[in-house]
Amino acid sequence: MPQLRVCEHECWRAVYCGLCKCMGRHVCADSALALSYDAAFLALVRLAATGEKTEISARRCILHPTKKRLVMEPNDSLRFSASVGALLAYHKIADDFSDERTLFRLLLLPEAKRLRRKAGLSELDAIVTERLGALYEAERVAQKEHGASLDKLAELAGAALSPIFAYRLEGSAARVTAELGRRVGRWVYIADAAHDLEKDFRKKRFNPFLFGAAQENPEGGKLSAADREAAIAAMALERRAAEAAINLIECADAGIISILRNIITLGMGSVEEKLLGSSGA
Amino acid sequence: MKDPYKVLGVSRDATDEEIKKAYYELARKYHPDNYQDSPLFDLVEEKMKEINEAYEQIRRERASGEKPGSSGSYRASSQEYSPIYAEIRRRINAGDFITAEAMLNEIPDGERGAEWHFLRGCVLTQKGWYYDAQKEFESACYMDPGNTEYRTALNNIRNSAAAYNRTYRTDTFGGGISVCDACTALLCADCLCECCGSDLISCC
Repeated sequence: MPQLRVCEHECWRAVYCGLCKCMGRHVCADSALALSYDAAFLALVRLAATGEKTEISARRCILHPTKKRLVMEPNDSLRFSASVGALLAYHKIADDFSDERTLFRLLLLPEAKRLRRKAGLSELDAIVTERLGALYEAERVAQKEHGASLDKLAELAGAALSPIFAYRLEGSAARVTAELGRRVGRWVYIADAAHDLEKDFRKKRFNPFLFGAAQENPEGGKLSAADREAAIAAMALERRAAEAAINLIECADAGIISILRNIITLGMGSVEEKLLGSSGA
Repeated sequence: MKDPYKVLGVSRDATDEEIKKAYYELARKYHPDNYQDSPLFDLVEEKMKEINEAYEQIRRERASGEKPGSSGSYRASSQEYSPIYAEIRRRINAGDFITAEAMLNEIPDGERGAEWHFLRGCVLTQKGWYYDAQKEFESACYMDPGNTEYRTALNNIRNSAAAYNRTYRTDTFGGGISVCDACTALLCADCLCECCGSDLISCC
């Protein structure tokens, strides 16, 4: 089950380093600074769903000049994930700026816009921008009406991530990856809400948990026992649905599937415990 | 039979919101879950029944414009609206969740009893909206604590999640995981949250 063997760990590292190189070459030189594990996760999903052939070689890089590292050679999945990494970096910086307008974030904006342009995924970007816009609008309405359905908002977040995972795939691969993207997007939204709860309460910012939490505990932004229990169960079931989707990916490389399952079950499960503790604790 | 307004401790001029608030406060206070190991469990069950009946009676009277106290008996909402709910249940059992949800949405706010929340929870579970589904099942259990169907539905969700967590914990930690594996997995999950603006591992 979800344990990384040495070869799987090497594959994961090769994908990560390959993605870093790919961002530098395919997007723009400084885009590698926006390298993130979420783009690497996406690369693994795309590699599994497309089944394209991969090639791994040992190379040096500027960060590791003395020792050669395993690097996946550029392929369609890596190139696409590199572009998405740049695109997501733009959306993150733009969102951070709209949350809190600091000078530092203002200075980052032109670079973020350049990354977006260089990503060259205008068609996909239009869809993601529209769906993120729907999410932000729903949050604004929820804040105004002082009430929010966590799942309704999480669904909008999942809907924004879903087309990225399924981009230009067809048939069952498109359906399975869309569902995986939806589930991961929903899980991330709930995790993010739980993570930011205290900070949002302090700064009087919107948080989907806050309405319920503030009612239960006016002292501060803490989840009530019932909300915490419900969040723990909901997040575990999101992961179960994500793992079910992974199980349906027809992929000859069992190692990639094993890495993906490891992230969903062990990695994301650990994050849940860190955020919310164990059930019944 | 006791005056329902006195049971809830509100005046007859109280707004619907005040009545709802009073009801939830009492329901929380006397919920049987707080008395599971108490010898007073049977008393608290009686108390909850009284509170539920009072709440349902007031809501029914207000929804129909009935004068307070004109009804001779108190019935649970599940019995009161059973023809509609029976049809919604039939739709859910047939897998027609869209129609079931539309029918539930058409029921006015003031007439939404325990069974409404339970059935909505069933629809949301099917949609995979597990958090909201649990909240609906919780509401149903608060309103009708003695109903085993509602309690079972809530427990089923919680038990499914617990069983899933147990599976991978047993398979991974029990099987001997390396530090490297755990770190890699944590880092992967950390980044998934970073794409939404948070940071679970601040140093990376």
